[in-house]
This record gives sequence, C-alpha cells and structure tokens, in this order.
Amino acid sequence: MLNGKMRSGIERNAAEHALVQRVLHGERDAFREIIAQYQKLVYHIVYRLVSDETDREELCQEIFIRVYENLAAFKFQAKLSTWIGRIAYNACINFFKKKRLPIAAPLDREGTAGAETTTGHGMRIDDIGCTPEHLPDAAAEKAELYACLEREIARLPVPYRALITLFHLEEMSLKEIAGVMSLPEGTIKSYLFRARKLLKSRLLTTFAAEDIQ
Amino acid sequence: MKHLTDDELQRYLDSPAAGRNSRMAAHLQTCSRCRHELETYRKLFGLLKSAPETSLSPHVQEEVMRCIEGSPMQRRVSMEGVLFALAVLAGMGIFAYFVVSGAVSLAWSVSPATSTAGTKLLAGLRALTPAALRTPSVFVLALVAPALLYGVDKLFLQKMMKREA
Repeated sequence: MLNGKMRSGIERNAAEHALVQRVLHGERDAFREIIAQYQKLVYHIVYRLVSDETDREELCQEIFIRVYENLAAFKFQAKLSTWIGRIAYNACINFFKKKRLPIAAPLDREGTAGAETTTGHGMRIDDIGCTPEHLPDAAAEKAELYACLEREIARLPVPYRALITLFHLEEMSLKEIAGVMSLPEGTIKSYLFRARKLLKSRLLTTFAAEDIQ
Repeated sequence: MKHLTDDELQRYLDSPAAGRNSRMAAHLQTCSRCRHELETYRKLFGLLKSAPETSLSPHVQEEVMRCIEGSPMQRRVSMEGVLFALAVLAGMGIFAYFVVSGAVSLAWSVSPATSTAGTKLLAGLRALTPAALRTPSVFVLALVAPALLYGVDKLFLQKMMKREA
C-alpha cells in the first residue's frame, strides 16, 4: 500500500514527465506552463543572488532558454524543480565569475563576508536608516525589519544566500538543495546553521528580539 | 547548567520529531534563556519564510518564448530523426542486397533459367553501387555508423550538455 507522500510523488513525476514530453514534441504552450510553474523558484534564486534588476531579468531569460535547450537531456533522476534550480544557481555563479565578483568570500570573525555591500533592492547598506528611532509606526518598523533582513542576507556569501532562499522560501529539503548546489548534504546543513546564526546575531544588533516578528 | 547550542535550537525547529528529544524538551522547560533564544530563532524562521514582494517581469516570459523559436533543442530533435532515418535506410539497403543476392544464388542452383530476372536485378543493384562499397563489411559499417552516431549523441553529447547546464 502506498502512503500519501509516495503517491503524490509518483503523481508529480507523471505530471512532470507528461509536461516535458509535450515540450519535446514541440508544444510551445507546454513550455509556457513550465515557465509559469517555475518562475518563482528561478526569480527567488536570482533575486537573492544578483542585485541589479536588469541583470536579474537577463539572467532569468537566459536560465529559461537553457532549460528549454537542455530539456531533452533531463532524465527524471531528480525533480524538475531541482534540475531547474541547479541551472539557475549555476547561471548565477557563472554571472559572478564573469563579473569577477567574489562567490564564497571567507567570513571574518564576526561573520562579515565583506563582498556584496548592496541590498537586494540595489541600495547601499549605509542608505538604510537601520535604527529603531527612525521608525514612525509598526508598519514602517516591519518594512524596516524586512529591509534589514534582506540587507543582511545580501551580505552573506553567495552559497549561504542561495540555500537560505531554497530552504525557507522554496521549502526544499536539504537533499534537494544539495542537488541544486552540487554540495554534500552535510555541508549544506552546516552552511544553513551558520547562515541563520549569523542572521540572528546581526539582526539582534539592530532590533530587540521582541521586535523580530 | 549547560545551555542548548545554536545548532541544537535550529535542529529543534527544523525537524520537530527529531528535535524534540527528552533532553532538549526537558531543558527548555526549565531554562528561560534557551526558551528566549528558541523564540528568537522561531521569529527569524518566520521572517525568512516571507517571500520578498517581487516577481518576474511579464515581458520576460514573452521574450523567452520569442528566443526559443528555432532554438537548438528543435534542431537537436530533428538531427536525431535524421540519424534514425539513416540507420533505417542503411538497414533496408543491406537487407535488400543480401536477400536479392541470396535469392539469385538459390534460384540459380535450382534452375539457371529462372534466375535470369534475379540476376538482372542483382546486376542493376551492383551497377548502382561503386565496387568499393559492395563488400559486406562496408554495408555493416553503413548500418552501424548511424547507430554509433546516435549513441554518441545520446550518451556523450547530452551528458556533456547536462553537466554544462
């Protein structure tokens, strides 16, 4: 007897298989479905890793074109989302290499990567008034908290940013993230713990624990 | 009192079943400092789950669809079709050649007179192919080559592209 999780996995595989086959048989609308289904995943990865909006759009385009061109080579050995995530992550890494930007900057004692000094919104860290006295009301405080969080995520090394996004936003398992980032599961786990510890301590330098909600 | 480490607190929240072992649960019941730390992590995880209010620009999808018109995958599929067709044609050619030559030999051994038509057909087939190509090994190669190409494409090129992706 199959349990619910296994059954849904089999159904998902069958649906992915059918969708990919439709694309391989030249059905253009099927590829639109793939874009619609995975654009959030791709955009979240690109958004967290690359700060410039024009670069983000170009990368997203490039990623989906690569997905299309390589779809015939997809052997269903992993979930389609893992495969597309890997293409997106590798495209971002290649982008960093091309621009000669640091990817895995070693963290100093306080955990500062010191590489990327812009937020996800393309603002410089210094541009954000990140002190409670600048916050007029609860909504503004929440917005500021999110801005601070994004800023702190942007300060993390690239692999940390990617896995925080994949684990918390995309709710991927450690095994799937290991597949996306081509790293051992144990490394992913230790990076994740370190990244969150860093974020917690950095947010606490600005906000009281009670304000983080 | 030994407090829970950051890793333990995070594990406790990540996997409720594994994390809620009796030692951690018992400690959290008595230690307000660790409960406070746990609560901070819980709030942080909640924040991290909130998606940034962003989305892919609508024109990106249209641009992708425009770019994939006649992109390599389409050519790739048709290349596979050509190779498959070549393999089938070569196979049919070999089959025809050996069937006709075999039939002619058989007919000649039974009655040389009845083999005239077959002999003419075989001569015609031979005239169509250069002498150098009429050896069985060349025909076997002709059959195997497209299959080999197809195999190389499937096993090697696609694996390479996958790695590249």
